[in-house]
Amino acid sequence: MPLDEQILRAHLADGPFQSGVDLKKWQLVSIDWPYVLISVSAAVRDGWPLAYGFRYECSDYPDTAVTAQPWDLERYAPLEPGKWPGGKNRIPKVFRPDWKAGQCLYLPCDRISIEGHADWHRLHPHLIWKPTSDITLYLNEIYDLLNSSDYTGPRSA
Amino acid sequence: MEEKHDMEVFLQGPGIARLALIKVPANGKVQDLIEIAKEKGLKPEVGQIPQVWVEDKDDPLTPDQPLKIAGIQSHGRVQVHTCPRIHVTVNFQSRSEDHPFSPAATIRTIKQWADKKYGLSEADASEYALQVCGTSDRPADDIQVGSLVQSGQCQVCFDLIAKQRVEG
Repeated sequence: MPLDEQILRAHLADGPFQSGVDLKKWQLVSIDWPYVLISVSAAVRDGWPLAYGFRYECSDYPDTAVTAQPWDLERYAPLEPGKWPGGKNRIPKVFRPDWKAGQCLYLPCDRISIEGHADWHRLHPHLIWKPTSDITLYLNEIYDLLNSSDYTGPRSA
Repeated sequence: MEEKHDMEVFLQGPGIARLALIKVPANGKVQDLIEIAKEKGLKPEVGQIPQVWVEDKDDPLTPDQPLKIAGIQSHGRVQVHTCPRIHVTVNFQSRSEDHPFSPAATIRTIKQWADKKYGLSEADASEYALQVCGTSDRPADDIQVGSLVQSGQCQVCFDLIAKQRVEG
């Protein structure tokens, strides 16, 4: 097993990730290295999904940041744009199907999105990935967004 | 077979780098948690006596009490600390409020206290976060406040700040 996968698996068994599982914030679905599927719980309301799936690409973890794509766990395919999370202010800026063809989230802790955004180091230092970071940095931010007053359900709702 | 008699507990404390998920004998005592905390990085100074708190509880447990009697079950959450209270200050705009919290009080609990103190509605509250003063560190809501202070220090300061949109 490659070292990056060993470290990621150790982090998934470690306290910060398991605490989130225990609090029902998120749940590991599967690992098919370098891809890791995780579902993240969202605010509950009639007609809204209980959780969203994300496919994380974790190669070179944790030296290099992860990147996450909204994922349809039933179809095992990228989530249709209409089913992406929608919101009023912060969420539409993060969950952008038009950004990089929907391959990642517009977040400073995302490996793809951080490229070309040097100012994010100054504007969002708490979301900058470091080699000492773990995947819960990214998961906590998604969970926070999906359980904030900014979240208004799926974009097509 | 030994696994069968162990249980997992979430352990936090000053000097313990990560929120630790430890295994402890189900028939163990509260003192066992203190010994594990020392192995994980807790370094009490001379004369300081570490104690154990259940998450969000005000009073420490008796060290020689069996874990089950103390109410610690599988996936229980505890804090090992030497301060009976952590003096928490939260700054918001031009105001400052403080309160003594149990070292096992979570960021979630302190945030709810601060939201109420500053009159934030439930909707507004989710748009603000606690950030440790002088840093860019925004602890997750399951972090206990005792984990954020150095051993022997019994105070911590937060700024209550608005979450910014990611743009650019």
